[in-house]
Amino acid sequence: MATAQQEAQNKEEEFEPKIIAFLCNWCSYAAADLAGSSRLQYPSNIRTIRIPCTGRLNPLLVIKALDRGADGILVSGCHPGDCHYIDGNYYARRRFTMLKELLEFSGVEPERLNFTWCSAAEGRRFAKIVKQVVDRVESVGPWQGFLTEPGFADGMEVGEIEDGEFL
Amino acid sequence: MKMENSYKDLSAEIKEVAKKVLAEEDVDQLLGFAQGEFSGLTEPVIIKKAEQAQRMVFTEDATPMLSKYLLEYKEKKQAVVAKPCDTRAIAYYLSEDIIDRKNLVIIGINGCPGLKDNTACDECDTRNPVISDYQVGEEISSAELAAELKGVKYLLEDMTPAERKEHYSQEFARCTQCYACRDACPVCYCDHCYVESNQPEWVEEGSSADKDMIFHLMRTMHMPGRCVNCGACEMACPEGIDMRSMTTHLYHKAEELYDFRPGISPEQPPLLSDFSKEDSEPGFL
Repeated sequence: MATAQQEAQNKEEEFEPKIIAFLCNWCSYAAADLAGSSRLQYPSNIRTIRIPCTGRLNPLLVIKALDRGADGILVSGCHPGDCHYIDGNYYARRRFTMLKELLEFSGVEPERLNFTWCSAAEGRRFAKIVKQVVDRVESVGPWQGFLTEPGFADGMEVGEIEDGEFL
Repeated sequence: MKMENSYKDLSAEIKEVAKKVLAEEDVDQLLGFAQGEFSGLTEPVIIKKAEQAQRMVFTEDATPMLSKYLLEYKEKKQAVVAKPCDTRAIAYYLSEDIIDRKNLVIIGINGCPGLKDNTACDECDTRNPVISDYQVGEEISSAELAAELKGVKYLLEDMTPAERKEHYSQEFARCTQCYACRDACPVCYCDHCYVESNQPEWVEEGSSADKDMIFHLMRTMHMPGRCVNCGACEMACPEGIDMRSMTTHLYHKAEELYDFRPGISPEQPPLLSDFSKEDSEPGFL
């Protein structure tokens, strides 16, 4: 019993963030590959989703990922000017900036939302970025959802309506 | 110079101009406001004959955005009585090329006195139409407008993110996902809305406050570069939820970061369909 409790406690202490990484097929995904084939060590907290271009990233997907329990988000694309589709990452930059502004405004910690550029040759940089992102997310702890306490607001109860309200 | 046009003067002028438009221009119909026959409320009406124009009014309750009604009949040639925020929505439609300018006759309201209970009107930065064929009322000079806007703060700007999270938790607990905010919004006009999509299912079934927040975040994420800050969403909400604070924040951020104000000119490309190589990268790693 005591060991089980201790284990649970240890588990709580060792917070392993779950980070969804949206990586551009043409650069960052290849950078992750390069980091792997160069045997660079980086934390295994990221779950990679390969996208054709950061311009393809629907901002709603980021909201959805957080809704489904991701602790943090990493979006990585080609450096400005290097987009395989010429200007996809320029559009993504505006879109992500607006998304970041919105989510930070409504109470999401900025540490959870990460955007960066990483070319196919930058395996070392990719490993560094992942370490950095994991540190950032760890610093703000587990994700608790967009609201503080989901459910009814204070003073609201189901089924208690006075007759007068209908008249 | 008078500060504001009275509703009475505007109503009288609108009647005159509407009669003139129906008589002289070759329009199929005119969208305006009239006193509801039974309700006594200010309701949108479609006027087809010059003699019916006598019914028309403009009051402090003229909340529906007539610009949105234009889209319903966009193959017809229409005239519309447009508040300044309506004209911005129309300019936005033109910039996205979803309506033909040749099919529009815009009667713009100069020096809009604002609407009752609409918080957006308190911080309104467009009190004269941006695009119009006919005008009623007297213009508000930009100096006068600047003086009025001095010191005006937009909603929840002073709160910390944690306080806002708490605030939204209380607010969105009341949301019933009736989508009145979406339906009232002049720049929400997709044929197929993401909330009704089930492949992928963006907004899941069931109504918990969490899901309501997802709906509102996603709705707001469609708004940067579109929202003209008219406040129609909040006016339409039966639960009185303050959701405009989120869209307004992005409205001001777009202006700050990209010097972009939606619906200022029909030639302006939409914010997120455009870019500059020099765009800033706030908070990028």
